[in-house]
Amino acid sequence: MKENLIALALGGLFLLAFYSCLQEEMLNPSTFDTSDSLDENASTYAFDAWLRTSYLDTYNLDFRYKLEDVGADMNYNLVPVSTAKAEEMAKLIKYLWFDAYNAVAGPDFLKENGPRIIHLIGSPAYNPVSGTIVLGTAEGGIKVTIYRCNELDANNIDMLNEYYFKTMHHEFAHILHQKRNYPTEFGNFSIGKYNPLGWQNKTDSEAASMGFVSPYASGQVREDFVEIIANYLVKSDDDWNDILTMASKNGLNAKGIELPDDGIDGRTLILRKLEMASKWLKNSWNIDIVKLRNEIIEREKTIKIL
Amino acid sequence: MRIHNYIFLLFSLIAAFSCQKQEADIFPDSPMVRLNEALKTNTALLQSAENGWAMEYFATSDSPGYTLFVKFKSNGEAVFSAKNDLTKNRVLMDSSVYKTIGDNGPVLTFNTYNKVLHTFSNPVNPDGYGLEGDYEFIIMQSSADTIVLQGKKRATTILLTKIPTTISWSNYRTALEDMNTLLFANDAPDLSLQLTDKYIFSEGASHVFQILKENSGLSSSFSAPFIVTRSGIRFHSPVEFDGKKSQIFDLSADKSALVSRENAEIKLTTSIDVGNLSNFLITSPKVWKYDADKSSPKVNQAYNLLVKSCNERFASTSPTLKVKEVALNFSYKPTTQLFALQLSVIRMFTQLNGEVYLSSTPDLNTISMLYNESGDENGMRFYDNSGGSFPSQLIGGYKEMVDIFSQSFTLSTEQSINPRSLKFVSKTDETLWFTVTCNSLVQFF
Repeated sequence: MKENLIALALGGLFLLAFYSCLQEEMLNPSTFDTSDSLDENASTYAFDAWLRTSYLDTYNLDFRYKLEDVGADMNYNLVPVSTAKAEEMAKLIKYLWFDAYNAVAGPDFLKENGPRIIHLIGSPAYNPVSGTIVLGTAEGGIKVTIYRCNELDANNIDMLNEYYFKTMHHEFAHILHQKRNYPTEFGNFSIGKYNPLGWQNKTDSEAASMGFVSPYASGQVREDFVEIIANYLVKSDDDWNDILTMASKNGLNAKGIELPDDGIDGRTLILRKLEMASKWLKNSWNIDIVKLRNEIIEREKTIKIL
Repeated sequence: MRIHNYIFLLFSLIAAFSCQKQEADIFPDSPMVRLNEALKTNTALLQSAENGWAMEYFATSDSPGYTLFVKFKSNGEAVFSAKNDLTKNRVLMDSSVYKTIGDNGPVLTFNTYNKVLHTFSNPVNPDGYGLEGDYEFIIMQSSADTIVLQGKKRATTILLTKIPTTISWSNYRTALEDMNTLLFANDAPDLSLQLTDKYIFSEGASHVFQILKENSGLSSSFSAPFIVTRSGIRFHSPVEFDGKKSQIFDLSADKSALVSRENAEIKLTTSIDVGNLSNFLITSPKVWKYDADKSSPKVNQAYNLLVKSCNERFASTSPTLKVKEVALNFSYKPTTQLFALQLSVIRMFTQLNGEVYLSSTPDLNTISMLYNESGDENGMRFYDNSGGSFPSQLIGGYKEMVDIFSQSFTLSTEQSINPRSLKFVSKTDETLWFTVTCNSLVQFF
């Protein structure tokens, strides 16, 4: 009987102790807004709904245009994009990038390999010390940030390509090679010629004569690789041939003075780089770069329908 | 000891320990619940201002203050309006999205671009820094009519003040412009503060005072940004004068001083000698204009005749030749040491001017003037048709005005903090008085 009393008392004691702990562990309701619906009263509802349908539902992609500086590089002074420019940019990106890849690489390609976040920023990101500006970044194969969106002019195709779509294809090529590396032999083409800190001091002509499609390409091997792809995709035949023509001559410095012959056949070098990048796209991703380029150029002709 | 005593002892000990972890909550809810509640409360407060808020904005702690107007709509849209040098002195309205978010406490962010606010943050060329202002603000304090914000990056203090429904944004802006004009228009003289130390405030029109502090022959200087308010000025942060901090200054009722709201003995007054306005008149290179609205009927009788004569003499059906305005200007010419009384007939694209000259004898706040029987070619024709050309150029009322100016006056000003208007009262006839004003353009912030 005595043992029973002890067992009963200890059992009651544990129950009491357990109850007192249970009270502490009870959770409050979720403090986050778990409802996933858009606010129909919001001034941006129509655009937000379009983004949800066109990007989130289709590509599992969060298209961010409302800037919160914690989501951007805090080292820069930046401003958000206007809602009007964000709408234009979102539609252009879909038409000239996503739909173009869909047409050539199939509807699942971007669903599987596309960025998970696109972030629009209104201003450029200035580097006052070097005198350069950042037009885009790709982070960890997930996020693409596009800067300078407040200066978007949808009617100026050259500007669209130079400042935005070249940047997007450039950043997306980074995402692709972060997933499946480019051939290490690519680094041999211009070995010893890369200058990460002084690329901005080269002219287009000087860079081309050394076998780079742009000064930025001469900064690092990986930038060279994605610049070849991006420039080839967005340049018209005339503009691409201009680069090759420049590359076949001695470079000119910023004052227009011809530089001494560096012994490099820039034209051949650029074409060999393009060939290697094209094979990599075909073999690694089953993308025909010529078909993709033609698709983009055709779409650029009908851009006004937007 | 019996076994049940041990049981009770054990029971008591365990029960006591099981409760020991229990601590009294200071707040009834978790931090996140309280933050969400704060966001809701602040959003409701922002939207509660039917007529919006006046935002007193400083981009950095070194920059001048700007007043922006903003209304927070329930659909998440913030409508801004401003008129300042950055909007080329035109009223600019634009809207963007706003949101209160949980960050380091409740933060108000304007997360899409609008031309009124984000112009302060835009990192424009050539250096890529721009004005370095914030567009995200920590909500530091709030009451029904005032919200204190702090820029997230620059930590400047920015005030939101609820605008009463009885005053339109336009009228509010006009009140600010009037205060700015009153204080700083017309190349306003420096302000002065005499305590144990002496302080001279210059460059007020830039809204960043350069303050020279003098003490026993030693001097030092510092700058102090401020914003113009409807009642005076407010420094970005408190400024110390003789060890006492002041931030808000109100214009005194007699418009003679900016008086510290925190320390009433701290008064900024004009640095000119208001007991010697005749000297001010002679040493200030300004053009003064006759102000008929602030002149006696006796003087206006001659002035009205002058205006009528000009309108008749220069009447035209051509829009370009039609008289738009008749102005009577008054200025001192240091080279000849004479005053010029200039008649100006203003048309759409052209202006016909003529002037006659007066000698003067200044004496503190009195001045005696006398027509010295000279003028330029047009002036003499307007005055008495001397030169004798045909048709007659004589303008009725001009000679009468010159005669009125040719006597002794007592001088006074309505706003000694920045004498933009001077009242001349005849020393022999108190019913004969007139006012001249000086209105140079002033850029508004």
